[in-house]
Amino acid sequence: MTPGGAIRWRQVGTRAVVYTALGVSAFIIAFPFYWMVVSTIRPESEVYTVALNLLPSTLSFHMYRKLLADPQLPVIRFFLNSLVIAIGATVVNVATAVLAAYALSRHRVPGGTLFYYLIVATMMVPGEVVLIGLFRVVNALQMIDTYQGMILPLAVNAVNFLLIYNYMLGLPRELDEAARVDGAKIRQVLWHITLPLTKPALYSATLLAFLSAWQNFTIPYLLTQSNNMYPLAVGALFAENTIMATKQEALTLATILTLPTLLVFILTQRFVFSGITAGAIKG
Amino acid sequence: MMADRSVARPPKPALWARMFQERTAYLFLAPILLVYTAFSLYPIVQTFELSFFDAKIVEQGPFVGLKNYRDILASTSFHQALGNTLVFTAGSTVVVLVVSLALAVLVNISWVRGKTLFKVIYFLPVVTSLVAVGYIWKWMMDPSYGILNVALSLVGIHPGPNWLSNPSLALWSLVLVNIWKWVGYFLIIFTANLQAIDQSYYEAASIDGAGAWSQFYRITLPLLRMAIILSVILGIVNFLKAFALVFVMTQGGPAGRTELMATYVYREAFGTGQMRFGFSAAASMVLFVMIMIFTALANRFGKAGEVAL
Repeated sequence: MTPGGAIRWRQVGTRAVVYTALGVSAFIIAFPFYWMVVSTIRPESEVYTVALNLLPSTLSFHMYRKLLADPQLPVIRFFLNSLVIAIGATVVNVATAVLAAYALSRHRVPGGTLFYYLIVATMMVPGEVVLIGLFRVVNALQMIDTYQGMILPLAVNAVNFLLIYNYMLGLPRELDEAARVDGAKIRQVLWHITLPLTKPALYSATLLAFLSAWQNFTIPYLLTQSNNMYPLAVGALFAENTIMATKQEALTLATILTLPTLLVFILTQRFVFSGITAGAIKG
Repeated sequence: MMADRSVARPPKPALWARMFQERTAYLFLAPILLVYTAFSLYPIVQTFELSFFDAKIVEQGPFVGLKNYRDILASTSFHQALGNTLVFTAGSTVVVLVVSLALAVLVNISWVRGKTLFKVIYFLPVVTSLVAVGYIWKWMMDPSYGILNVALSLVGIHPGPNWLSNPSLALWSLVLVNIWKWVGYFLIIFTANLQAIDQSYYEAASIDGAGAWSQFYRITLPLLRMAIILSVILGIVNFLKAFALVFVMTQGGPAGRTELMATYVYREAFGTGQMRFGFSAAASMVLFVMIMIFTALANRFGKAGEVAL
């Protein structure tokens, strides 16, 4: 038992504790996903049981087939609605943010500071806080139960504007100015010079906008009335409340709702993380 | 002063001339201002206005002054929702931050392998719709078939708790799920901040014989101070507006014990059949003021650019 040996054992002990803590936490986070998916692909009799069966005895996709064929529950329609709404909100959010970020970061517009604060102020009024006002506005515009009625409120996301704006502020202006002197129009400068340089921030903003619009429940729940306009998130709740879906059906809908965002995130995690931490590092 | 004036400067163009010069910039600003005003700023103004009227859905109804505010102050269900919201927000914020900071410190240890894998796993719930999160956990918390109680019965605890229907437990079950959903988000913020800390501090401290704990207290915590303050505020703002989890998991029950401000507002306006829009708008304004206070604090302490997702 040399002192060196004792230190080595202590190091091994520390590593074991650290990896155990990280591993157990990862298990707690990941297990519910496993359990959700497994509950949807096993025979129904195995779902409602008080025995602990971590593995399905046989794989069975009957629930997916049943749901896709259910005339009361247009799952494919829900899925397409989610896609239209999330993509629409992403496009409107990023496009408006890019234009405004460019105008405010490159031009000294009279009133610019006021406009900046108006945009940023929307962060204080998340949809959950303005349910009533939002309902009345969308209703007055006769947009209840329409795609644009959901896309436009979901496109309000000033975080992405800030992400792009701060990124553009960090880019050198010389290129813009040189191009302007050479007679390029503003939109040409934006399209051919500034936008290519802003790509990393654009990727992050696009992903964050899509992920949050796809997940959102409150706004489509508030602003839809007929079930063929529901996105998946609302359709899943409708299934449980109105047509009394079984637990297994509800979990199958939850799986269909979850897998697209998980997949997008896993493939693009680098940009998602850099988008979230862009403004978060304080020196 | 005099010298300043004598320097030849191009005359400053008139305001309208500058505005005309920047007409393309205004054109670029128009879409965002239009959309954000119509679907965020104007709705809060509308909500504020309605809170002084006896409004029913689309009709504005008669002006009633502060009556709606007096009504919510006198309403026990409002008090309950407010209290639940404060408990939910405070409980979630404290635990989420402690857990995410601890995990971030561990993940960030230099010899830990698989950093990205851990971070990706911890982040999965953040990109999962709360509706799905609610279903997963409602299923796992099912009193008879849920895996939590099945597992508990294996270690002799039988019957297990009624996670979502026990009045004194339900709110804490929601807090638990909310923690599960958000730990990864704050972990990412903390790891980014930890990576920004200069490693030479730690090297100097170990040379001086400081152990892991004292390094954490004397170096890591003080240097993360701003990130922690910011995360506290972001957590509060985010959790104050919680809505979907309650809607999916408990519908506010049992006996209003999990009713939160946002779901209360919704139910009073659209759910009770009374369509009390004015009353509901007044309750919204209370929530708005709370969020505004914390957002203002966030702006004071740093960029509030993280309230994403």
